[in-house]
Amino acid sequence: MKKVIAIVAAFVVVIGAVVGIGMSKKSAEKTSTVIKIGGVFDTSGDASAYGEAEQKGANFAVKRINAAGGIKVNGKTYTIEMVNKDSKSDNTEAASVTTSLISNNKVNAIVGPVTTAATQAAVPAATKGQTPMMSPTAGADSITVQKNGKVQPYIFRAQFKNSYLGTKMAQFADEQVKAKDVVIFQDNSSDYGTGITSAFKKAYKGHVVDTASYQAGDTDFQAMLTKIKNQKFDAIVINGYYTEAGAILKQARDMGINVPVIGPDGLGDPKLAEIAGNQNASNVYYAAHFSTQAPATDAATPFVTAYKKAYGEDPSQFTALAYDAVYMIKQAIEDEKSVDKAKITTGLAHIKNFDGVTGKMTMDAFHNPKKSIVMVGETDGKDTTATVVK
Amino acid sequence: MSSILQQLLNGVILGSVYALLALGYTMVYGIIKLINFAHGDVYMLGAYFGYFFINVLHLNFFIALVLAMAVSAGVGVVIEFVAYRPLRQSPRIAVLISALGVSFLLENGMSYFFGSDKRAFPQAIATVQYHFGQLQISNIQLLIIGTAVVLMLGLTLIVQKTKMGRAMRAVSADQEAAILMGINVNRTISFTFAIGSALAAAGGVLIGLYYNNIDPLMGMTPGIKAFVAAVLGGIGIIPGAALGGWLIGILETLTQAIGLSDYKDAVVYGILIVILLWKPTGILGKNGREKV
Repeated sequence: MKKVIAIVAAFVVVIGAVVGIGMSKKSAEKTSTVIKIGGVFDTSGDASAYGEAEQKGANFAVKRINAAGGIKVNGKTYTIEMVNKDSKSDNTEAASVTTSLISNNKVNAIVGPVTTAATQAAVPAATKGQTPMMSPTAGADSITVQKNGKVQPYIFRAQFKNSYLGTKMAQFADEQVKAKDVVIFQDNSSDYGTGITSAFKKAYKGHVVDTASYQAGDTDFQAMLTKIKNQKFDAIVINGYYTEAGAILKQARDMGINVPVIGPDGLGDPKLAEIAGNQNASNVYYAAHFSTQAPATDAATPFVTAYKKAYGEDPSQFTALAYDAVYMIKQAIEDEKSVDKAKITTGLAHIKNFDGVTGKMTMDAFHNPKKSIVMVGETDGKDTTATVVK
Repeated sequence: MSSILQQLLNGVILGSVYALLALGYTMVYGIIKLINFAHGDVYMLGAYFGYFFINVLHLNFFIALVLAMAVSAGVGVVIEFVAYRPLRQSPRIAVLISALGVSFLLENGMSYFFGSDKRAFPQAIATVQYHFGQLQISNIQLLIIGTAVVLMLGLTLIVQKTKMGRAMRAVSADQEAAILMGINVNRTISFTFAIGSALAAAGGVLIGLYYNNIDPLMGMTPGIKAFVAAVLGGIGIIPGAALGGWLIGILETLTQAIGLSDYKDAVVYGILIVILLWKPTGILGKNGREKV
């Protein structure tokens, strides 16, 4: 009998404690003026270089918002608290970290993950938790679209979707390079290459002389280049990544094909010039999200100056995109005058003419920002020019 | 017309490398009936050795080429000694699996120690273009064809004229009879691996110089294509490997030239299937009956 009483007593104490803690938490939340933003960044593993750059960008944005007095909603001032978790360059980890941020840390919004694959893995967790999630750098068109073709209600991104690059590259080819005829090389082993190509073809006003496809890992482009060599074209468009693009560039220049080469952000890597050889990496233009040399909006220059002062280095495009992601969440809160997750989601979906550091952004119906891009020009393997394509 | 000739030339250059690789497959198959799946990775190792000799030790390209061939020959012998010799009396499938194991070990080992990134191969020889009428060829392309032809002639000499070559042919024809004749079979097999690996390494170094990049998985696709080339020419037959290599190189190039770049490999392998259906022993293959 004593035992039973003891057990019952223990139960009462434990339940009381739990309820008490829960209540105290609730009452704390009521008066709290903190907005929690979760960060899902790969700070270890293969993608850690991007993850760290983005975490820095998000933290820096939070620091600046708080230093400037936080976010004012209905006369109340909120400060932001960033809760960062490492998704370890692992898709499963990205999903579980997202769940943990939503259910344990009770975040109001999430910035991240870094890569397309990790974002795709985290989509169900964010959707189930009804929490808006903005990936700074997931590029694949599909991540904001459900299988049935409808928009993913809680998923957003700060960078443009991949195929949008094709549209802007076409504009660049028309207006800046003034190319009337182009030859396209595309990596057809991924949606990235083919998606950009079809968007390019749709938007390009000139004539596409020929489209040659290759697979990731191909090294020999002699046959394709010989085939196009005697045709008339003003530029080559390479829709793929830097390894194959580097090989194409080298072999084309060796053959005496010296026309401008235009490519998406997949070409933006120092390895491009290394593989092509510096002397061959001239007259090359690749798309970038952000360049310290070409401020896309008025917000860009103060950001770069402040960031340099704080960290002693130039912000990368990953840093800038994560920074914009946090500021877009702030904008959404201010527009909707609420820190409620559902309201933030609505706010993000309706972002219009937002002056980010990576460009003026307007969210389209599928949660992809429409914005300007930067075309970086290389001479002798070095980035020498940067042109904003509005 | 000139464009067709140029494409044929491109095909021959590409095919020369496949041929160098295919020779190794065919020699090893000829002598111990093993498809040495690690062969493509020896080609990769050769390229890395070349990279090391040129980039770190700053040797002349040709010295680096010869040294890379020599070191890779050693690697080939070690692979045979460690992974294949203990299994010589086992069923053939066991050796085949061992070969796949070595292949993965080399690929992943290199990725682990040196990173899976592509590396730029040092441009030890500056590219110079020559023009012959409409045809265009660079000094490096000439070097590839030249080296391949010289090495193949050398191999023919070794196999036909030297004592070791005679031993190789004897072991290939009948291993037990060769033992009875007093031939050191182990040494002959080691020698075969050494030669095959050296040829693969030469291919690797040349390709590194030509395409200017190397990575730990660079041997996979050429390895498979060279294997197919060896089968196409008639596996076990040395001139067949050279013929098969060139044929595949030309086929691959021409498929792209007529605008089928989307289906490049599909077309090449499709043609192969047709050829093998019609002549299963390969183009130069003899319809020899197997003794039971």
